[in-house]
Amino acid sequence: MLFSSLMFIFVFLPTVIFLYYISPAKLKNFVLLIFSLFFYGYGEPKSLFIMLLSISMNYLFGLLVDKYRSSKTQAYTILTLSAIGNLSIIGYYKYTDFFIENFNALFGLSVPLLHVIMPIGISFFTFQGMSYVIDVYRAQGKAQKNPLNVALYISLFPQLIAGPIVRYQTVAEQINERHVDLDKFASGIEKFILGLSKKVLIANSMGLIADEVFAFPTSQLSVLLSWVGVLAYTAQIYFDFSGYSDMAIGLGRMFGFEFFENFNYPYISKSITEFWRRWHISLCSWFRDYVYIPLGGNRASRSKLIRNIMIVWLLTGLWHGAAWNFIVWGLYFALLLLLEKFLIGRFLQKLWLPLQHLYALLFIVLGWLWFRAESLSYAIGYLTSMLGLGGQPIISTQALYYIVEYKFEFIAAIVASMPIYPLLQAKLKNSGIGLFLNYYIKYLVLIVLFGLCIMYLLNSTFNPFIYFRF
Amino acid sequence: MKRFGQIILIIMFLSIIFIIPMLTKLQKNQAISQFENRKLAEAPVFTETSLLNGEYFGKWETYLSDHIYGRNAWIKNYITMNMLVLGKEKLNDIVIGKKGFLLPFLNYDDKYYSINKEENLSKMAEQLKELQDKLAQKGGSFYFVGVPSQASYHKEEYPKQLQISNNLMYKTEQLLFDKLDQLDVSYINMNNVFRNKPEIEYYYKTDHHYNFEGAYATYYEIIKTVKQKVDQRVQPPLEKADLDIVTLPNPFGGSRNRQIYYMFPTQEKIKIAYPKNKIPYEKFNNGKPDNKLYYLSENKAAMINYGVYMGGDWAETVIKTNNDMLPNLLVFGDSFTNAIEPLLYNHFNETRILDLRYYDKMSLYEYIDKYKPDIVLMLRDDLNYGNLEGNGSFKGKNIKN
Repeated sequence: MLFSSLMFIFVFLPTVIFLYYISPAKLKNFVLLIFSLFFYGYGEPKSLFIMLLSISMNYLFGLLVDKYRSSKTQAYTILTLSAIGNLSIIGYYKYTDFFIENFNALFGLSVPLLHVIMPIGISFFTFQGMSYVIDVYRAQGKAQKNPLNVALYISLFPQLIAGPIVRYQTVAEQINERHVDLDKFASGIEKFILGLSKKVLIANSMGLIADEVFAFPTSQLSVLLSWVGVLAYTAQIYFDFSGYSDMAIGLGRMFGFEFFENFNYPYISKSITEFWRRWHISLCSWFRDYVYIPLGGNRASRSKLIRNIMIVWLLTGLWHGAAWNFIVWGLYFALLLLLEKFLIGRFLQKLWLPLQHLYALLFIVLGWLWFRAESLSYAIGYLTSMLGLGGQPIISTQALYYIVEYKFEFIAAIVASMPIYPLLQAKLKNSGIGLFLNYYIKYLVLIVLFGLCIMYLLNSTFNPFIYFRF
Repeated sequence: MKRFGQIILIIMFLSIIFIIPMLTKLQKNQAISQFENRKLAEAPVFTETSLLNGEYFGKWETYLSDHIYGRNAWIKNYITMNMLVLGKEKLNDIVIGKKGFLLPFLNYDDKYYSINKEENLSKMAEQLKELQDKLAQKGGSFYFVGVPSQASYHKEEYPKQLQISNNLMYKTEQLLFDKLDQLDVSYINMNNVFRNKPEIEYYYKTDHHYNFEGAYATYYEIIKTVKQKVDQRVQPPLEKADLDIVTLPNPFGGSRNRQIYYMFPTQEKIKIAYPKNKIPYEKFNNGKPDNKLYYLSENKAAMINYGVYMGGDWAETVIKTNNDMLPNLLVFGDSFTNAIEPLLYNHFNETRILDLRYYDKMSLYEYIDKYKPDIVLMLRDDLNYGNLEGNGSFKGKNIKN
């Protein structure tokens, strides 16, 4: 189920809020768990069994790690087994066919593909499951005796399908004890509406443009159209993903949970290094704490440091998808990060500020090209069009159409990519206007935005059938 | 103060998410959507299989989308906001063109590109040739009547950035008629006829069909051609002076305007015509007697649409004047045939009209073998010249036995 669906907003959410708040404290987690499992099984009931397997496995490994923590070797062995178990599940469901394809290509074989259907959200719940066992091992969170609590941590519906990846240490206490007051509930609604608006009002329109442009053969792209397409995708992926994270954080707050922010205006970065501190923060910190630092992190020799960065970004690419373009995308950022670390970092800092932003944005946008393209050859062809090297026209009617017809969405995307509201809020903090904005206008705007989202969602269900005679 | 704002936000948010589903549950569900011209989803039936493959809840999602309380009002507001506030020229795949024309949004990946690819146009020309030859063997005649669609005839009225498919529309016509010339298939290209008198407006601005003028010109050209080139027995076409032309007072709900919930203001009206010299006839729709040629509303304020002509699309309509001195006609095609039928039948002994999108008793060839028409006409709009489905499928892929 998607947060931006009518079923979620008008059936699932009111039902879970109602039952959660009328339930006695002891039953609240149970209510959340039942609804989370329903939320997950809604679209793909069969996948529920895979998630339940992951939950059971991590629950047992958590208990075993806790039981044998006095023996470092035994605890470490259990931890290793849990990692192997989790990685086997994700490996099978996400990477089997990719592996077979490459194996066939490498050895000229024709081993048939298994066409494994990947359960939705497997990358997120697997990483959360691993986080649970690792944090118990590191004594950064208590092992849960009650399996329902582990199930709730892994399957909690707000962050189940698209993150943020909530570390066990972040919510270990909250699972057993949390509270909601008016402030928290209202801020949850605020965050949810902002996230929904990002998704429905901006990301969906940008996605429509990107999908149409990326469906063209690259030979038919004008230079302008290829830029419009990749910029639209740049906006889509940010507003889609950060919108979803905001909705998750907001929903979490409505039920008393506090998750960390997952995005912090990444497109205002002045370097790629800064970008990755602002983009998908929960994934980056997961890899930093569970892979990069255990490998030696920054405190290793230069060659090991390079190796560590390459490994982390190879894994980051693979985590995003089982295809070579994701690997190239990961390694592309690894190279840029290494360049900034060892070669151009200081030079960049001396550049005129707008040039720093331009540099970062350009390479971020190019990065999304690798990410969005269906294949490496398509990405290369697309890049050729962007650079005007394919002999295509500079401007096309189609490009003008997207620019003229979606000008407000593009403007909204640009404005919402920048921290204008927080800056305004800070500047007007104690003034009458600031208070008026914060106490009245903000809430009015939120209600209007929610109404607009519903309007857009309903219009998307408009489905005329011209030739049918009823 | 802050608390007040928060309380209002919470109350409003919860009210919306709680009250809308309750009202949805309480309201009486509609079976069809007048605006979308389709059946609305029915509540799904539970089966174990549908639950396990995810279909069951997917269908509930569709059901909720179709029946949610205030759906039409929300969508109308969306259209109004986009049209008036954001100044959008494309709404629900309708383009607000110049001079008040509502035109279809035809994108590069639109179905018309695949329909009208050269391969399909060649196939269409070949099957028209085959049909013409088959009729000739039996002493019959065939004519293909090509009508420009409202979108292609008025392609210059698209805003500049939306003139995406103009090339497609130029090419389709040229390709098909070049092939018909090569194969020596008889045809009437109404685009040429319309372009000869550009001062006349042949199309509705808010509907995808031609208006009375377009239908009359098409009728006139068909009868003129048939009389000159096929059968002298046919009476010459009725001049406008031979007709009582009535402008219906009802507001007009064009198909394109319907797609934007009739939010585009229009003063367009429907015209109908009766021959002054009335010829008696019998008429049957799908075998049932029904003598109406025009389906009018007694309420002059009621919105009417192109369905006024012949009551819309029927699988089979038969009109008999029972005058053995005149030839028999078979016309097949989409809804463009509807507006010319009330005039056309006057010139024939028996006029049979088929819409192969709905007719499933036999194939076109079997029908011709059975009823042996002297003249067969196929009427098609140019966005569907290469369409091999529906009225483009002569051998009947989905015939019920």
